[in-house]
Amino acid sequence: MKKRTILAACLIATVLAAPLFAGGQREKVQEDVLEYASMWNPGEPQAVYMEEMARKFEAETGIRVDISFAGRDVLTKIRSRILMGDVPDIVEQDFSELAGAFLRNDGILVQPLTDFFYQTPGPEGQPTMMDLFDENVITLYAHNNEIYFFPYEFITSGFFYDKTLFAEQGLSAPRTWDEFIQVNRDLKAAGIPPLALDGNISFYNAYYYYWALTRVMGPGHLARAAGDRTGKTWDEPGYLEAARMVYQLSAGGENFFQPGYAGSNYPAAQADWALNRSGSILCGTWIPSETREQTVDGFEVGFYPFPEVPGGAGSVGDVEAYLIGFAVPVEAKNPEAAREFMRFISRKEHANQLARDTINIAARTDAAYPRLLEGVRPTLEGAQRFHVSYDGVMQLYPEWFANVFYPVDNALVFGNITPEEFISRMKADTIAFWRNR
Amino acid sequence: MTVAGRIGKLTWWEIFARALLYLWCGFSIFVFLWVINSSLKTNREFFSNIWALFSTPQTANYEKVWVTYQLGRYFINSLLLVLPSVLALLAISAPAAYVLARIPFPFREGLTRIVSFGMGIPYQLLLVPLFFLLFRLGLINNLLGLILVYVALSVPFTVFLLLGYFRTLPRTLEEAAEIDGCGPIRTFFQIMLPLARNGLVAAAVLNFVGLWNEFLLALTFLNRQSLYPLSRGLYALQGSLQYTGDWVSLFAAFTLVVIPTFLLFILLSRTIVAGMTMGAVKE
Amino acid sequence: MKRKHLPMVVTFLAPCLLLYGGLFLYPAGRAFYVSLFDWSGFTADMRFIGLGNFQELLRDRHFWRVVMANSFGIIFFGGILTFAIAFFLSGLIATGPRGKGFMRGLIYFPSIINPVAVAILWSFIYNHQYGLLNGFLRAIGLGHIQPTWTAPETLFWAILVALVWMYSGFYFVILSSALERVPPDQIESARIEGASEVRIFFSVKIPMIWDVLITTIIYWCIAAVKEFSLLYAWGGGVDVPQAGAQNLATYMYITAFGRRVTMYRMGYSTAMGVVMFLIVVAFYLVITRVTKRDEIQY
Repeated sequence: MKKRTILAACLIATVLAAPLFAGGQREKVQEDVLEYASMWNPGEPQAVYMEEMARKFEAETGIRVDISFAGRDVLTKIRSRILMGDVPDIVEQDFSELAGAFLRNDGILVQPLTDFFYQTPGPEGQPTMMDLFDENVITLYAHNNEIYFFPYEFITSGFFYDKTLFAEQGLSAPRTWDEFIQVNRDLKAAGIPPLALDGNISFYNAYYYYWALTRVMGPGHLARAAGDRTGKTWDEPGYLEAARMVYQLSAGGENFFQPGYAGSNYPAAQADWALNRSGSILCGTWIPSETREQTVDGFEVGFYPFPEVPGGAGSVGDVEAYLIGFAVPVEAKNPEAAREFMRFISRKEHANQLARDTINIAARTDAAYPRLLEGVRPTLEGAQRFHVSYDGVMQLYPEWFANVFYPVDNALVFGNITPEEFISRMKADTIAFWRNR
Repeated sequence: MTVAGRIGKLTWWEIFARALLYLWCGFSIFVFLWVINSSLKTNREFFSNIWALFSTPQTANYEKVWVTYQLGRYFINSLLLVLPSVLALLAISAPAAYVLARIPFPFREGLTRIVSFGMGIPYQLLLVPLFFLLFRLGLINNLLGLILVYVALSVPFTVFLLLGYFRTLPRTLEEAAEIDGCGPIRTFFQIMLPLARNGLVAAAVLNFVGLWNEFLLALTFLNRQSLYPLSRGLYALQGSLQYTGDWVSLFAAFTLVVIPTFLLFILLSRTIVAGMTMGAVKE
Repeated sequence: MKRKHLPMVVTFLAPCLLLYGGLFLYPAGRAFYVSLFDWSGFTADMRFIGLGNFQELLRDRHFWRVVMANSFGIIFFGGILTFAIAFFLSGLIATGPRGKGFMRGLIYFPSIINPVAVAILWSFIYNHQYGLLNGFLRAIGLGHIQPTWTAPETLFWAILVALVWMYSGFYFVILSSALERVPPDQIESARIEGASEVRIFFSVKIPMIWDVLITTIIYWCIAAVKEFSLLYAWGGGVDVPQAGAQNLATYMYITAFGRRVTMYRMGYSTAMGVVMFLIVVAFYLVITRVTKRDEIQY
């Protein structure tokens, strides 16, 4: 009997002690700590890079960088922490998502960094931090004439292909829509699916319509149509023309995508592409990095921008600027250290290392190009104007984009509806969406 | 058996039954073996032929997942979360169930009904209010907060299960104890609780398995990667391994997550099955 | 009541009821209140809109066309499949094959695997290019058909099969052990009277396990309405879930807490929670009324 009493006592003691133990998990905030909530997951190349930057930064300044790798969902998680007073000093995501989460109608939750850009000297003695970047790109994301976000990685999107494969087939990168169609027909005739697409990723499918529309009408028109409560904007002919272009590629038209693309589960189609089993893939500049593990021998990454259309208001001079970087919450405990860290990773050697280690383009314009992305360079250097990815719709109307645009656009890309049906459904669903609000 | 036909000692029906059973089980075994085999390949090996056997076992995949992708930490967090939850749950549910089962007092029926009522509430109903309750208490991103939630949400089922167990014990035990001068509290700890051991073990194991696999609450209430339990961590890991196109490591992660469950299952399958059927049949 | 029991009753019940009341009943009650507000959650500014959230739900096309359709699809089609398979396997295993215990364990095992892991596993099985199913079709010379299992039209059904694979073992164990407890002499006497196996199943076995069956069906309804993990984890969180992978539970979670897209519509989300609760209540009432024979015994 005694043994059981002891056992019971132990049980109760453990139970009482456990919460204390668990409570001890809460981390203490110290003066010399920089808290950094990251969009990366542990083990990703950028995460490894940032960990190394954090180590170097601490060695140099004595400020410990406490990185919490929250994954792409970082922003949906961060608000509760900010309002609980558990405020990180740096939050990281792409600028569209940062803007959508922090620059809202009910209040701006992050500090303006305009002074930091224009009044802080650069890390190598440049007059200002802004001298490191292309001002047109940074100000794309300005809000009421203030700059809120600080970039370290630059991303754009377009078609990636294997130069070796194209050379074997006697093809070259197309510039116009007609050339593009011809290249795809040739590939198809040679038994190679011309285009690769993981249909389960709606924002990959959305690239096609957004880019087609940008070439036909120029930037800004997807956002205009999304925000039009009457839906009348959708009746303008450019929207239908762009839908026809997408439809032509789809299973309803010439069927250029790899078989089963509608149900392809990321990252199967891009793995296929890397294994030379399809021609081109419309994707962000992260694709060479993501497919590094699968790429076959002799694969030489090439790039061409989304083709131009005759008489279109847009051209290949319209380049998408999708930036990844930092925001500093209003109540950050250590905003000075945050700025210091931003300056630190903007050093040329560190920007070069980012390019080299993660195979991505650094935001700093004079940084080295990763070898695999050399093909993107001419497009960037020939840029005449920049625009926000998905025309900014993701930050302006996130719910519309997810619940109205994606379903209808997916149906178009999969060839399940005609371009005319696309327009009428977009119009009707957009009207219904706004009526509900 | 009225089903016509026989081969040897077996009827056609029995042969058919066996074939289907072997097929169903064979499918599961095959899938698991395929995953384990794939987890020992390199990515290039896997993508070039999904059927081929691994050439040299790539244990580096496992190391990468466990260390670099921090699956090891998620395991520890899960233990820190689930063990105290289960112990606390038993510590508060067993006395409550005992009182509700065996001590007469006013409103006993009503209380019992209120507690079992919780089993019918999908806990998504209280997700948002609970989030802001914990938020005000400063218990978001805190293992203690999630432990309290786990315990509170598991109370109805656990009390219900133990209630059934205590009810089956013979009344004469308490009477004898009382004659011996044993107070009701002592009777509970020294006589009734040990007799209900099987029930306690079943409740512990079933709750352990349930909470070990819990995903939604961990996703909602823990946003710090250093605190992620297994489900949440595996979800994060799946994301990052897809971004890096590293499928074989994902296979390794799957294997690492499933193997402990499998071992636990081998050890405790009898208790699990007994507890489950007990819960269902008693209701 | 004997007065001397009072301290014991209070001390034994208090911790349990406090926790249950504070962290379960109170927030559950508050949910009904919150569902009447337009509220972004992190401000004190809650705007009372009465039944406005429910009216919006009625008009929300996505909610009806996708979310509710899938949730009821899981309850009905998933339920029919799960119970059919559970009964079928029970019948098979009752023939007493060799390795019975092992197979029973193996059939049960998927229901205790981490559901996130199950999502990962089945996306490998279905994968178009590198998946097991299409690989198998290629291996047996049917490479030309290679269906796209996870195409938008079939994704829901593909996920449903994974759910059934995961859950059927649980119901199989409960139902088969209930069936084993049916007295063999009753079956035997029915057999002597010349009843077919099918008839024996429906008129002898089913009535004998009736209470267990009703309890498990109610349990299924609750579990099916709540189903979240496998659907949410499907595809790994790269994007908002596709239509086929959304149900009430995932939609309400995303409306409140977001996934890639931040929404913070706490009132609207909680209104969906209330709908979930009402669905469970409705099923409970219908099932217990329709199947009522005697009092369900507790």
